[in-house]
Amino acid sequence: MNKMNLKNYWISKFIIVLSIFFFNSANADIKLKSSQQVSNFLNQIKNIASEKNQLKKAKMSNQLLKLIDLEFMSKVTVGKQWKTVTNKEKNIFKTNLFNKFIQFIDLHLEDFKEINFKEKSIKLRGQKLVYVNGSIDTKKIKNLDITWKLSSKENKILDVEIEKISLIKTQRLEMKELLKKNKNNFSQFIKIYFKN
Amino acid sequence: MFNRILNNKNIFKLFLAQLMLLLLSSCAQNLANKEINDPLESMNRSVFKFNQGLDKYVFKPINTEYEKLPENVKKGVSNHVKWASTPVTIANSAIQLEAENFSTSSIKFLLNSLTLGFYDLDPETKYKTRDFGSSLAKYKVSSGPYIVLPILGPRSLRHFSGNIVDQSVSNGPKNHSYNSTTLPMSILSNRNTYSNVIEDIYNAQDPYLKAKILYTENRFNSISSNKLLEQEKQNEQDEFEKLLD
Repeated sequence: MNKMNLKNYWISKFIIVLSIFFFNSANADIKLKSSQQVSNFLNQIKNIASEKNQLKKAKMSNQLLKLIDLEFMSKVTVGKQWKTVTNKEKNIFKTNLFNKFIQFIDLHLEDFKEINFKEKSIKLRGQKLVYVNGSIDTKKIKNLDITWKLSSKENKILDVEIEKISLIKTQRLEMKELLKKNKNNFSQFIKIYFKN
Repeated sequence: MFNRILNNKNIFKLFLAQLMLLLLSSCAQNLANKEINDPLESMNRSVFKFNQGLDKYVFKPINTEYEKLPENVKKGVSNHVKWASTPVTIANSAIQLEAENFSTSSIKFLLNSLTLGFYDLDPETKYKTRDFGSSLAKYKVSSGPYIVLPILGPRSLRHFSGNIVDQSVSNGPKNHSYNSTTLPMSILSNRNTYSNVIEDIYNAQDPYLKAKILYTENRFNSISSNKLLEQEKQNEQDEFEKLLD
């Protein structure tokens, strides 16, 4: 009987150790993938910034779509109203949001050419998120704190926080006010917001 | 007698700050509420436009020339500006009972005094910038209305009244050297540091709104306690997880 208990005891211990090992290796894998995703994203931006051929640039920009979760970003920035918007409007919004992002890269081309990211830590937050923390150096600014927020499942970039300021959060606050001004008329809002 | 009191700039500044504090304390507001009310929007928009024009014709051209200076010189100016404002952080860390920030900022200030702050002898050591506005926030004084000041830009009334008190700390009773040398340096250095952000603001659909949002977010992050910031992160995590379902 004692022998049996001893055997069960060791088996249960073995299972616990094994599950901890698998859990940790799964987490390590998620962290590694997230780190690689951030590097890929920055390399792609550097390439876009250095490319002079407009056609190649456009192709490269489209590659960025694979690295970011545009649907999620749109949902967060528009807020509750996203549910009431038609699919056509959703697509127009997503396309314009992405174009705005590309315009932002164009505006800071010189900075993005020399962007350097130093990874400091990677943390799993809850069940579905991974935060990659570090700092970036650009031509003008050094040692800027940055946090990349990714989904652990699809490994796509959801948000970027620069000096603790979340890009999609500020975007959402801006859109909320502008939507209010346009009496929550989404199609009118799209026309005005993306008119440049 | 009354004229003499009014003629004394520092006493007048403190009186003004006290008056503003009275105004602020009359309307209690939760610190966690990030939304700054903007009852003076039309006036603020006019001042914002004035600042935008001033920036376009004065500060931007100066910054273009400043940009050409060697990186070390710009870094030196930026270091000096930060060093010169450290006494404000030291005093307010004491008011906010933040012992670690108080000691770190004091030691760093003394150490960098050897170079008048132009060279940071200990770049690894960081401390949080504290001002009287953040001290008022800590003791639950409301942020008050959002205001846009000529040249200085966006502030909450609490932040602005804190600035007046901080200025008195930096200046001392009869020392006007801070304003005449450090203030222009501070304007130059800050314009240069934030040139990308300023560009983004001007490119926004509504630059006034963008500036207001960025100011509010930045100010909230710089004056909030770690506990409050962690709570914010937790709320955001919950929201993100729901949306990822």
